[in-house]
Amino acid sequence: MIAWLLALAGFACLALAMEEHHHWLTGRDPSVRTRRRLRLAGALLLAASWLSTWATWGPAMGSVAWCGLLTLAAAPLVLARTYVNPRRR
Amino acid sequence: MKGFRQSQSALHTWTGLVVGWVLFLIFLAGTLSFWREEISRWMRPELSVTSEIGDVADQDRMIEGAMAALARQAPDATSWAITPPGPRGAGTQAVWTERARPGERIPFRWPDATNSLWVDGDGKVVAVRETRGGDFFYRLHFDLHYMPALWARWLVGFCSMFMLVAIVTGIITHKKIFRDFFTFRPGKGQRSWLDGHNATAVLALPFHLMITYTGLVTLMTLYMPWGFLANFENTAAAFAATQPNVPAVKYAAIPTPLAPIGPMLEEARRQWGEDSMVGSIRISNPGDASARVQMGRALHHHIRDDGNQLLFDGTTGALLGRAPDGGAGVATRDAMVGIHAGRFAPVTIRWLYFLSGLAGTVMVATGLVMWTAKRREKLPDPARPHFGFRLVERLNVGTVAGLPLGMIALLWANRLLPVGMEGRWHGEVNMMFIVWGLALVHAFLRPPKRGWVEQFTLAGALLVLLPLFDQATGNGIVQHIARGDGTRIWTDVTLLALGLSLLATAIKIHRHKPRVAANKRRSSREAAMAATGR
Repeated sequence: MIAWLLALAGFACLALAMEEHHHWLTGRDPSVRTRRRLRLAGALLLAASWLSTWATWGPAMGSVAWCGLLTLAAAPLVLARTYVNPRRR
Repeated sequence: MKGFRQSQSALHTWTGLVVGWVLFLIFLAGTLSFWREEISRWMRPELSVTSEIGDVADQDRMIEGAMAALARQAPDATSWAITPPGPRGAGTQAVWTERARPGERIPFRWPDATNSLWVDGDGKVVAVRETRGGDFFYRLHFDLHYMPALWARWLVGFCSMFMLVAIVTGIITHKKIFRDFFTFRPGKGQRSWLDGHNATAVLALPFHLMITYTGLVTLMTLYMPWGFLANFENTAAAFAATQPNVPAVKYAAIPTPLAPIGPMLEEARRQWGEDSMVGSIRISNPGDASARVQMGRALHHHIRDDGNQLLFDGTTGALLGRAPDGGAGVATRDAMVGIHAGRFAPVTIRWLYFLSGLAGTVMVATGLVMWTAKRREKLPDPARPHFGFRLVERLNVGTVAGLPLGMIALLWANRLLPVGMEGRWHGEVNMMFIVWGLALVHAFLRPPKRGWVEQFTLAGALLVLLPLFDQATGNGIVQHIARGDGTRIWTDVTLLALGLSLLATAIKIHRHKPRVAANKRRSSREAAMAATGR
């Protein structure tokens, strides 16, 4: 569960590091520096998510589980990006 | 570079299409196989609750009960095979092979009412309806049905190789793989289909690559035996060296009682180490001086799919030997097979496997539908498409909707066929193929959109009705909750959820109205979307 939340947060950062999705959420274009920071944060969060699967399942099974969790974390973001409009007044 | 990408795109389209319908079956059956034990439990409602038979003492009691039953039922058998349940199963299955008279050859038969029995948690024989349970979907996944297993495995291997090609070419073709990572644009016809196909493919890409590649590895000695043949005289010799089976002992024809199994079970667990469980027992020539007992370890401890076979002398109970360590090569293969089959997976990881498998199934389905969505707008006369187009369109309906319909019919047959019926499991399986066949015929008779809606509606309704039928006949979710039978509760909930999502799909297709557009090209494209079930 923690691993999934970390992966979700990680992917969210990676998405926000992309102009298109950043604009969708905030209505502004991110600066190059913001984008770089978001990308780094996303990568770190994904790595943290990987490590936290080890705590539950050990490195071998944990890595298998992590791959599956990545799928399960990215899917809701895709759906949210499609069906939620955060800036609707 | 553009030329290369286009050539890869064509390769992707055609490798995907040619084997797409078989791949859909392989993917769907394989995905269901992750719940093999759970499906078996659902199909054998006579067996008691899993949670009541969890520890070593339960296992010993059931195995001893099975041995006693076998000794009564088939004292002269060539071999006995006993499979105690893992943590997710229920009941111990005991199968025997009759001893052939000189010159007679006994053909292989799957366990049925005439060569197997079931022992429940209390160690007593229990009458269970004859069914293949989840094992049918597992075998269907690589042995198909109605054909020799070897042909089927070659066919499945051929399709899997195409799948691997389709995945790799798909990655090359999909140029905006990172830019589109979080993107799905519904209501845009072909574009939406492409997004859906890409999303199910990319989001579960590690799974798709892993499952296709390791799937080929499971049967690598069949597909590519040359590594073996370079080092051994033949494949049989290679197998003997890497995963020793019971060395063929000659039947002595000297009646000798079997040693008690209890100490052998204890010794096996000691050999394998703490908290090990026995996964399989095979006894050759029981009741004879040449009796041998072979035990395999249960596979839910670790990823590697290795049985750690032990061999005992059946008359003395002495440990004769254990499977030698096959070295790095065998370990690598075992790990790949293990990660493919997911036998190790605890229930959380199992759900991830199942959902990834569903994503793969949807990926194949959307790929198939896209072939028509893409071509319909280019048709010279969209009202009367050419033969090839109609064929693909109708096969899509009859497979993507028809195969699940057939599988649901099999589950109904499991509930409705008379319990004592001769050849009952064949009846269940035939039902699946009959209904699937009818679905294909139906798909060719009805307009595509009607075909999609009708088949998905029927499939969804039948699936939703299954748990309700169980409830009406007095063994439904209320009883499962009262008994604390988590597996059966979740199975019923999952069946309901899957049924409702099939119904939702049908409603969505039914409600879809092509928008009236100004120019002809536009409207034909909308019609395409409607007919292909957007």
